[in-house]
Amino acid sequence: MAGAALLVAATVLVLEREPAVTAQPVGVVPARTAPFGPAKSRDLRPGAPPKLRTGGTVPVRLDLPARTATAPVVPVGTGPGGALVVPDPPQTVGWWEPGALAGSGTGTVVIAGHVDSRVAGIGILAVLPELAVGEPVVLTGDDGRAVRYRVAARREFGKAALPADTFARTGPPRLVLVTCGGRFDPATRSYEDNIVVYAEPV
Amino acid sequence: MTTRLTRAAAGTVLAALALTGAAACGSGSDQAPPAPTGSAAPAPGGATPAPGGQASDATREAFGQANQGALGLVALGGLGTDKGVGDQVTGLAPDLTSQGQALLDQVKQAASAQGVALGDQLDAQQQALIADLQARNGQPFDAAWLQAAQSALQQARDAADAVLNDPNASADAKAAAQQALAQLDALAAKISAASSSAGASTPGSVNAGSGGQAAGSDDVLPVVLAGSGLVLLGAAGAAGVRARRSRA
Repeated sequence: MAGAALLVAATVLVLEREPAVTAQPVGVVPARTAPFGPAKSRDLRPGAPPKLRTGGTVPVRLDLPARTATAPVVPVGTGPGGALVVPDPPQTVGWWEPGALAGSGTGTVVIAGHVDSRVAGIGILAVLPELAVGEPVVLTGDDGRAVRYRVAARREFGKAALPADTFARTGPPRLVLVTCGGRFDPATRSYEDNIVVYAEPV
Repeated sequence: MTTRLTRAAAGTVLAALALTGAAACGSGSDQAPPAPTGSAAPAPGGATPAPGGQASDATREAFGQANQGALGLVALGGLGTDKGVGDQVTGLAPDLTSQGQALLDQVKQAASAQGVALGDQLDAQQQALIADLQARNGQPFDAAWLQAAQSALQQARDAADAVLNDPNASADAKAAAQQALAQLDALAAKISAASSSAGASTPGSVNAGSGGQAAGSDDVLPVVLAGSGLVLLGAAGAAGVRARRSRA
């Protein structure tokens, strides 16, 4: 009798659960059209771009100081099917290499990581639904430079509705952290949504 | 190659001139917002009234925009020529430079004829983009350059689209913009193809989760319950068999 009851309970669990990761929208997404100040360099002849102000740095480590969470950052690109290539280990995150460098004066630094993995468990970016506005985020570059950001906003989008300007190459500098969220479909082993956290340089 | 480049550059110039023509019509279109033109602090490559110039603010703004875009294309093309390592970038960068330089020359000439003086510096955002690219080398440079070139060309195409969608633009301006759009599309298509093969195109999706644990969908609990149930049922069955044997 008890064995049959347990079997029934297991069946009910499998059939009735609606597993999901939800993230309430918070904050104000940094504007993409904020004005820039006047140019500082006066040596910009067409065809011969000179050395300008210091560029950014290739991020190699992500820190969420308020959560004592750290992850290595590896460069990633866009796959042949058009999807961002995300590192398999969920404790590692990927930096979209064609996008902005950490500390760059323009554009979006995109960092993405798995919220979880069937074989390796929960990912470091599973905390995205909990990040609060104002919380610090630090990217450390391969030159040792620490580039500091503060969380400005969080949004959840259907995967097909992820805004193209998430990867904006121009506009004011910002950091975007992306992972998966929404309802989990056990059949396809995938989530329906993306959770996006926007952060501004400090 | 030269003929093709010349035609492409001419198309880009037409787009710029069409843009100025549309702006001169005094349209209130908000699809191509003008660069700030405060007289105290003009954009670095922007437009300022030349002594005796009669151009309206809208015309100066449009010239300034076109000039700024051309400066950006030239700088980007020059950087790609200098630092590109792959065939795609080293092949496409001179095209970008040629189009940008031809546009620059034509816009300056047209602006001068209307008494508008144009600057020759990149704005802060363009400078930051160039600095970002200069910090990279090798394949990472090529990937970032292709993405930046795509972005710059898209902005130029958006400007041409704005002319086409402006109800106040003249028929000549729209025809010129249409022609320019076709030329821009040709180069943009090449850069887009190169970006895709280099893994530098803008991602269309992010698939970042396959376990379900974060959603509370790990399979452990159902498996434990089902396993326990089977064990109990098996044990009960075995006990029943033993009981029947012992009675027999």
